[in-house]
Amino acid sequence: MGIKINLDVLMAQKKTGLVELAKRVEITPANLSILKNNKAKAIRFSTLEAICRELGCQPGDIIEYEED
Amino acid sequence: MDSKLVKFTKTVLDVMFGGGFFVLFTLPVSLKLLGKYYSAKIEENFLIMLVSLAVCGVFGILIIAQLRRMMRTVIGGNCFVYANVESLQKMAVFSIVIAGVTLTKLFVMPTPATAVVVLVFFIAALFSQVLSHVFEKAVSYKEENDLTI
Repeated sequence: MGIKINLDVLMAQKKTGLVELAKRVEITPANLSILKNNKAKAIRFSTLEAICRELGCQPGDIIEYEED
Repeated sequence: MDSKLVKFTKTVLDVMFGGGFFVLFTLPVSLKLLGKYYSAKIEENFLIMLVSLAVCGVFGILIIAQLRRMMRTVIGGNCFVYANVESLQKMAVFSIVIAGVTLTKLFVMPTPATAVVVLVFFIAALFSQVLSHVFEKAVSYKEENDLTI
């Protein structure tokens, strides 16, 4: 699995929708969906910072390493 | 990118594509006329000339067809795609075929112009192949960039 994105769990906890979060983070819903569905190859610090700010969490809450 | 230049290039390619078919289909007649009024050597080696020029013509048209496909992606604003890598690889193969056929013709009817054609298409094949590798790298960089959120 490698790196896993837990954005869907966090979004559910914070009761935030994809479109709403995308607007607050200032990225497109399509890009946020790519990130949420673990299809992204990389994440910019600025995006990570904005998500952490909006969801009130730490980078470690969003990104998790899983053994293959 | 200069859209006028791109559209002009596309128009030139379209004209060359149509012109290529015209030249190819009228080749037996035009060769006969060239043999009669320009050089008797053409008339002596009519069949070899006809076959070699027809093969080169077909592959030339195929090269132009690939270039037109590539130009369409440039006009569409999405030129960094794997289809263009394949087009460049195909163009390299078509160019080497033309160089090979012309080289064979060089042994039958040696002329400086024929030697130049061999050299030009051999270099074109090499450049096309190298360019396909460069394009392939560019496509992979673009895909990676597109998936960086």
